[in-house]
Parts: sequence; structure tokens; C-alpha cells
Amino acid sequence: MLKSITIGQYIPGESIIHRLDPRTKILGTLGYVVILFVLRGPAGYAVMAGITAAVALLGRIPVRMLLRGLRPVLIIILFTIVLNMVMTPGETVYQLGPLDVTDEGIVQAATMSIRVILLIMTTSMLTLTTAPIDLTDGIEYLLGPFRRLGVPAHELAMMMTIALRFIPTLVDELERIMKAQMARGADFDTGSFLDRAKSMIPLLGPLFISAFRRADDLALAMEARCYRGGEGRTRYKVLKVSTPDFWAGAFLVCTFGAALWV
Amino acid sequence: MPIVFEDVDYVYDPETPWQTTALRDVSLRIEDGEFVGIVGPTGSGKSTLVQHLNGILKPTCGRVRVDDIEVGADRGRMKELRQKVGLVFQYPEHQLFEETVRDDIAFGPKNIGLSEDEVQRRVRWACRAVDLDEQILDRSPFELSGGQMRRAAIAGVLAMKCRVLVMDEPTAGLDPRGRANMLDQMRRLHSGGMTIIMVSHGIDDIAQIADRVIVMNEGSIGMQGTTREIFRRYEDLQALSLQVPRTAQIMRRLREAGIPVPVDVLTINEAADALAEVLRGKNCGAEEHNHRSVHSR
Ligand SMILES: Nc1ncnc2c1ncn2[C@@H]1O[C@H](COP(=O)(O)OP(=O)(O)OP(=O)(O)O)[C@@H](O)[C@H]1O
Ligand SMILES: [Mg+2]
Repeated sequence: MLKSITIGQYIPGESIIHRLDPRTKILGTLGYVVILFVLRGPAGYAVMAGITAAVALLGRIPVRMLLRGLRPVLIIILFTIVLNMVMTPGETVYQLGPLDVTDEGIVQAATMSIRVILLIMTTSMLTLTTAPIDLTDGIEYLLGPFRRLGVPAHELAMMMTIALRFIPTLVDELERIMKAQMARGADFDTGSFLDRAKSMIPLLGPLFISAFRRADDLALAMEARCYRGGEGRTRYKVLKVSTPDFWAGAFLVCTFGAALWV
Repeated sequence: MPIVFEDVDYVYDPETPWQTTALRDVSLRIEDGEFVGIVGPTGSGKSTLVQHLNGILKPTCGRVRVDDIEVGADRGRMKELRQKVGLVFQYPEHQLFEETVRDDIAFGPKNIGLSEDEVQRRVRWACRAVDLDEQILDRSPFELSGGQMRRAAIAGVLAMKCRVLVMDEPTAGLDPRGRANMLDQMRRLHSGGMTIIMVSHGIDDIAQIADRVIVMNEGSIGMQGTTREIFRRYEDLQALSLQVPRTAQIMRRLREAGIPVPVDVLTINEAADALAEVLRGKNCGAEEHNHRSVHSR
């Protein structure tokens, strides 16, 4: 159950997509998200879905991983669909008790859910194909220009690296604590909502404690290795834009244009 | 009634890129009242194996039966199963969460719906069983030392009064005295009729205390047999990068040096007896030889 969280998970690989500069991937994803929300008309969505499919194929990402990422937001998607179907004014095609399912509602529901699905798939593809370190390096670089406005680019990037790095660890930890409490007869699946909320205490207590302990250890370990912020820090891995990045950029500009055009 | 594994496979994260087969074709049987030690290299599936015993993990393939409860199939009886089989995880101190040690130990008994009186009785009993000072019952578990935390956590499982106690590396990270204490307590519980299953990297601990040993290797059972049988197989164990108990190692060395001692001794006392035997034999026969062999050491 817990393992279904794909955001922040990275599958190591050697594909073209994996080797692209993280900045290309971040900007590409950003562009994709923006386009997704200004888009009108089904043809545009088809183009966007095509892009997602192409990237997934080139990145050799198992379809299962993409679908898995959708599982946690399934409820939101269903909710969006139902709400849009009955709340959009228009020509009634189906009577559902006091609610009218409208023509426009169906179209709206379809576009909204496709939007959310593509959004989740594409953003999780970014993290699936980019090592967290590369990702935050890219973010730090892209935030660089805003430093003059007081944006702490390095600190933000470092925080993000650490957060991403620890998501799977904490998930594992939570699973372990859950097992230990289950062994003592704790029950997480049955009972009223209140019961279940209460049953979280034996999980969250130890989880927070271990998270703080980890944070302490990490801070100590970083200081022991002379970490003192981004000032004057050199990089082991220098980001470099190469030919495939140009091709990827060109491809995205063309397809985004096409999506808006059709 | 026994615990039975029949051709058990267990796969973590099936059908993902992280898929790992942690158990392969494991079949075993553990009788009531036995003391079984489980050893094996890191990652050989020991922890995975023991988590099947109280239904925390369910076999991907095959069957696990505890008494008449089939793990995985009898979903409604998991609570009953967890009352029968107590499982102490690796580093159990990480599961402590209550404000006081007392409340933490009481967590299990409360979950199985006992009366307040009975809960308190069990807390005190469990506390005594792990040699924990009753005075710390009202302190926060996070103010305790590591060894005390470990004991409090074990008490939390003991308080469920299970008939089978499974411990995953209970002695890891304890000082020699804490270790000896822990083994003593386990021995006491065992002589009280409890079935005990202990996972450990401490071969010497296992040799001292277990009746029977299961050696795990890459998810399968490498060997199993009585403790003496297993620790006699020096070469086989070495092939799995495991060792025989320290005393047996010393006896082997003596033997290689030409002293006719048995090599399958498990404890220091046995070793001392065996040596005394040899020395006595020498004394009334070959005084001369004895002298030489002592010098040659
Ligand atoms: N929660 C988990 N998710 C995925 N894989 C796991 C998980 N727990 C264990 N494994 C894998 O299963 C295999 C067996 O692990 P297990 O923890 O049972 O070994 P072990 O014998 O207890 O080792 P150790 O002596 O280090 O405790 C290992 O390859 C491990 O990587
Ligand atoms: Mg283990």
C-alpha cells in the first residue's frame, strides 16, 4: 500500500531520457504543465498524451509504474469527474435524481480528468528518470537568477534533496513501525474513523522520533564533512547541456506548438 | 501444536523493478516447547521468515500453519494468532511511543481487551521477566538507556503472554552483561514452557541456548538439525561465511596441535570438561606426552 507512492521515486536507467540534462527535463515538465492548463479542445490533449507516451517509451518506464502513481489520486479524479458532470450547466442528457448530467459536463469531466492524469504521469516521470541529486542541482541552477531577489536557491535545493531522499526511507520506517505495533495487537484497518485516527498515534510517535533522530544525525554528518551552505561550493558533477538536450527542446517546442494550434 | 511451513516463497514488491525473492521453498516444522536458533548471513531471509510466524507477512506461495490457523487464509483470526505468537523485531526500542514505560508495556495487553487489573498484573510480570526495575515504570521510555529501552520493548511483547516468542536479534548492540542477562531470561521463559525462536548473528549465543538450529542461505534453508550436529559441520558453515562457536574453534586448534579433544563442544563448560577429561587421561597414562603437548602450545 505504502509503496504505491511513486512521487520522488527514481528508477535508475540508461535511457536517453535518463541522460538528458535535468534542467531540460524540469523546464520541459514546467512547459508541459502550463500548456496542459491553457489547452482547449480534444486534439490538443491527444498531442499531449502522445508526448507523455513518447517520453515513457524512450525512458523505458514500465506502464505499471505510471499507473501505480495514479492510485493515490484516484479518488480526486473520480470526484472531479462526478462533480464536473453534474455541476456544469448545459443540455441535459441524463437525469440522475435531482441532478442533471449535461452534455458540456461530460466533456468538461473528460478534459479535467485527462488533465489530472497526464499531470500526475508526467511529473512522476520527471522524478522516475532523474536522480534526486540531479533534480535539485537543476532546480538550484534554475533558481539562481532569483537569488538577487532574496530567494535562497541553494538552501531550497538542499532542503528538497533531503526531503526527496528521505521519502522512501520514512515510508520504509513507517512500514516497520506498523508491523511492530501490529505484532502487539494494534489494528489499523477496522473500527470507526475516530478509532482509526487514534490508532495512528502509535505510528506517528515513533515515526517523528526517528525522523528527528535522523535529521540530527544527518546535520551532524554534514557538519563533520564541512558543509556550510552553498557559498563557494564546487560541484562533483557539473551540469552540461549537450546535443540531445537541443533535440529534446526542439521536439517539445514543436509539439507544444502543435498542441496549442490544433 | 506445531508451527509448519510448507514450500513457502516470499517476494517483496512483486511486479516492480524492486522485486526481491526473499524466501524460496522453505519447509520446516517447529514443535511446542522447542528452542530454535536461526542463523545465516545478512540478507538471507531470517527476518522475512520470522515475520510469517505471526502473520505480519503472508506467504506469496505455499502455506504457513500455526496450530490450526493458516496464515494468510484465516484473515479473521490474525488477532488470535498475534496473541499466540509474540514477535520482537530487530531494534524493538524503535516502537516505543507512550508517555510512560508502563503505558507502553500495557499497549499490547490493552489491545487484546484485558481488564485494567489484568493489564497491570501483566505489566509487572513482564517487567520482572526482563529484569527491569519497577521504578522506571513511570518514567518516559525515551529517558532510558539503550539496553533498558530494549528491555522495555521486549516486555511490551512479553506482556501479551504468548505461547511462542520470536526474537529477531535480541542481543544485537547490548553489552556483554546485557547479553548474558537476555539469554538468561530467555532460558527462564523457555523452561517455563514457552516455545522460543531466536534469530541471531551471535553463534556463541545460539550454541549456548538453542536445541535446534536452522541455517538460512539466500532465502532457502541451508541446513537444519540439532545444535551439535550443525556446529560440527565446520566446512559447510564456513562455505556460508558462518563460523562455529568460539569454543569449538579453540578445540579444533587443539586437535590440530595433536591433542585428542572432541571438536563438537558448544559451551565453555563443556570445553572445560572435555579438557579436564583429556588431562586426566594423560595423567594416568602418558605423563611424558602430556608434558610435551602442553609445551608445544
Ligand atoms: N521491506 C522490504 N522491502 C523490500 N525488500 C526487503 C524488505 N525487507 C527485506 N528485503 C529483502 O529481502 C531479503 C531478505 O531480507 P531479510 O531482512 O529477511 O534478511 P536477514 O536475514 O534478516 O538479514 P539481516 O541479518 O541483515 O537482518 C534481502 O535481500 C532484503 O533486501
Ligand atoms: Mg534481519
